[in-house]
Amino acid sequence: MTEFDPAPESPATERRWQQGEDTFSRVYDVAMGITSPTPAAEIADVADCSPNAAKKHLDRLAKMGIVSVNRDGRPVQYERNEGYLEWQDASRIADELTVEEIIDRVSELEEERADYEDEFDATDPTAVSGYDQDSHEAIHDRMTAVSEWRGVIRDIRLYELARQLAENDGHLIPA
Amino acid sequence: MGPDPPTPNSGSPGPPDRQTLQLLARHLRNEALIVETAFDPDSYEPRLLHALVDAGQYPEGVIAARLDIRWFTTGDFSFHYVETHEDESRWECRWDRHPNPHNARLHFHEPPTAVDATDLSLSSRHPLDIYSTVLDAIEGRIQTLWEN
Repeated sequence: MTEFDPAPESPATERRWQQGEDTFSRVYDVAMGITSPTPAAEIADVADCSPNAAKKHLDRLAKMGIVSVNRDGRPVQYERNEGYLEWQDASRIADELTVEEIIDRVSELEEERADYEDEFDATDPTAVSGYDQDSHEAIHDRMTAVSEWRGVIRDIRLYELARQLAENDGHLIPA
Repeated sequence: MGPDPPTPNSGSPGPPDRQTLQLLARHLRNEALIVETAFDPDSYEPRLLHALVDAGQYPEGVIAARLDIRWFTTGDFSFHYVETHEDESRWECRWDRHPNPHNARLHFHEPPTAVDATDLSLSSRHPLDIYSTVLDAIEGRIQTLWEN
């Protein structure tokens, strides 16, 4: 049996995720995975388009609020707009769940958070190191647990925002 | 998107990256290899993304195959591929990126047990490029199974 290759050369000229996508969709999708300020030329590399095309689409996405742009840097840098995307997620929760369901879920998450605080004997997951274990698998398991703990804390805030939106008919501020 | 910079084996992993997991799920749903995707615990709080590989594409002997994906806001990740065989054995491997004292931050846990890890080098660490590499590798695995 031939040896398994974890990083084969792509058989197609297009990368797998790019197939059937137009330039705008590719730039949009790449931007959704960009979490630190990045020049348009680097985004163009991943999206397989010209830097000019990437810049045009990124500026459009920035106007829509989906991408945030840092114009102080040279070159100008882009990344996904976490604030906008969080609001979008909260709006979807507010739309699809009742206020009672949201409140119930928050209390479940509060319990989960208390369990993590007991397990790690700490209240701040960022103070717990995920990587100082002996075995590779122990590192992996601990990293996953600390990550999920941080996720629980973040999601409690997301549901709180969703509750506000649900109670105010989709608005952040009562009319 | 250059080579992986060296990082200290300390600090705290980021929470699950909700946007990236949703992005990957959107692409997995268009994959001919994938029959089903699911978020754990649910789509409101994606922590783990399950993708069920189409068992019909494998030769006899493989009864199920799945890919479990985690992505963290720190850019670390884990793609865990698991085949279940008729004789109840498993064939698994894992593409990982996280600090550890044994291997490069980006490394690969070799099949069939996913225990031993070797350093891995990839030209891009964008989630969609990692996704494409992993799916291409799974396709190669299926091809190898038919050839044997």
